[in-house]
Amino acid sequence: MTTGLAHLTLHFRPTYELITSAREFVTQFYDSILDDPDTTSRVALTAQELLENATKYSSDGSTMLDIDVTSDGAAHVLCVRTSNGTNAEHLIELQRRFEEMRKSGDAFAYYTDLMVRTAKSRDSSGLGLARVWAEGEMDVRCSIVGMEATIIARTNVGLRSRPFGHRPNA
Amino acid sequence: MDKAPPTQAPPDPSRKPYDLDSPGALVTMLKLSPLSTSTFSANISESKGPAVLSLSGNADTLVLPRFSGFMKAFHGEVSEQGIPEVHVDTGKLYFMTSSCLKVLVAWLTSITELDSKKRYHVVFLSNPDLHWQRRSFDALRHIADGLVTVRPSATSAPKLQP
Repeated sequence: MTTGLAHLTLHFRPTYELITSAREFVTQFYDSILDDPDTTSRVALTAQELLENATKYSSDGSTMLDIDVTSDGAAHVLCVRTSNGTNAEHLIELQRRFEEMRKSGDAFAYYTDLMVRTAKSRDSSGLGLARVWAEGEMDVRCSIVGMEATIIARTNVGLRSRPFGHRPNA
Repeated sequence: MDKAPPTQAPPDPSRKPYDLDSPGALVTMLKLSPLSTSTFSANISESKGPAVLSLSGNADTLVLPRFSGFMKAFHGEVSEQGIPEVHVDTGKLYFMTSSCLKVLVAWLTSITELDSKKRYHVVFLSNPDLHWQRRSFDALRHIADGLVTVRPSATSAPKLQP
């Protein structure tokens, strides 16, 4: 497996204004690498929603966004990860949501059902994660180590025939 | 397995008095002030027939409280005036976060809770170049089946904000 075909890492203290800038940067960056603008749009949506979650729940305000494209033979997989420290209460809630998603098994049904169930609720509803799963069409997983939560979202992608253009003097 | 969508009774067709080509067609006038921030705006245009709500920019978490209040007031005026159809023009809406999308879900839920004679129809005028809109509006159409349709906007903008 080859890593780092198009690897982007941002380590920052996201604000809502910076998240919009990050999403626009991700869109421009992967638009020139991926072969389908719809896929780029799904990746950008995923980056936005995961960064918003990280901003809400990060214990020290900082988070890491990491996007990588790997290839295994002819197949290419794009992986979006966000990692941040958080509190015990949120870790339990995160595990509960992933368990709920796993039991559902149907991204669109889970997403639209959650929309209806939480429509009038002022509390956090987990709609961002469900949206990444359903609209982002991502395989979403969660890894918890100590007090750090990492959300991992993966999807198969196609690359442009010359995704990286011509290097100078190549 | 995809669940069967909840079936909503469609708006009462007898409440569509607007013949848009008629010189006497009603002009929708709402009193609500526009919502405007440096990154997002919500404006209501006067038009013959449907009320037109234009959403532009980035609907992010920063605008959430104001957008939520705006949509509640908008719903109040539209239902009070008995307007049968609302067009939501999102041709220049570059992105909407899930927290703001939830505001639209709450709005559509409020419409479904109205008495069937007061229920109004919502048409999202979407931008096909902003791919997220197709998925998001499909989900909205699913939860408010019979009340929501999606059509292309005449004011579509490039996919990144200039």
